[in-house]
Amino acid sequence: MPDSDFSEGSVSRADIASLAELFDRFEFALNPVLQDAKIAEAEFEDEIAALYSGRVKPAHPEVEFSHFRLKIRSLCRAYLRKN
Amino acid sequence: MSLCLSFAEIIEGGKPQIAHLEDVAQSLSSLPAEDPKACEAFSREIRLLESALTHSYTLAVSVVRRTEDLREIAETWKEMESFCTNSLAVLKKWKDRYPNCGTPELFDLALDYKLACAKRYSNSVEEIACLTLTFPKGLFPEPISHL
Repeated sequence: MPDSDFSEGSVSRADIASLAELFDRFEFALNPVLQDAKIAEAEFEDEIAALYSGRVKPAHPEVEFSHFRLKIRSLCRAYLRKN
Repeated sequence: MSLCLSFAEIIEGGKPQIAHLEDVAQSLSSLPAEDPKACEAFSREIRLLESALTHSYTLAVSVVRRTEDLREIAETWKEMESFCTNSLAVLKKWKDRYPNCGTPELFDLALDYKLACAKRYSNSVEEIACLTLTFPKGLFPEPISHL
């Protein structure tokens, strides 16, 4: 598929890639209570909140934060399966 | 020939270790808890159950990382949480009698795993509910299949 057939959104592919890296570190940690997993989870939640308040809510106020957060989790799973 | 087992089938292999720990503890109950032989025998069973728990958790992570099906992900965490809950029930019963044989440490580990599984199960169930929602065009990159 040529690049022109792709389009970025308020949330870009780079955003998903960055969030997926954090998601991988806590959701799939072999030891879920290690500090690295806890730090990654905290950063993940902070970044989602910042993304929502900075770019999503102004452009799409009808989207609820809880739904946005869950969709991001699903997109991170999809990204990690493919990359 | 390829072998295809569900996580529920795989985890069955570790479950007998819970009953075995209980059997060994019962068989040692005629000995004083401080008896080195009792602690040695019980510690061996504790290590085996710890191995079963950590191995099962590792497999659960491997399964959920690969699958696309959120229902399978939720089911995997539910199965793993159940394994932890059953382990905790036996460990709770014996951790005060054998406090120096690794029992409290394994109790804490099983509790950590259980809480992690419960959280992941809950999140995956919420993600399933989110599957039917539609989001406005221009919010996410498209097509999503080419992330």
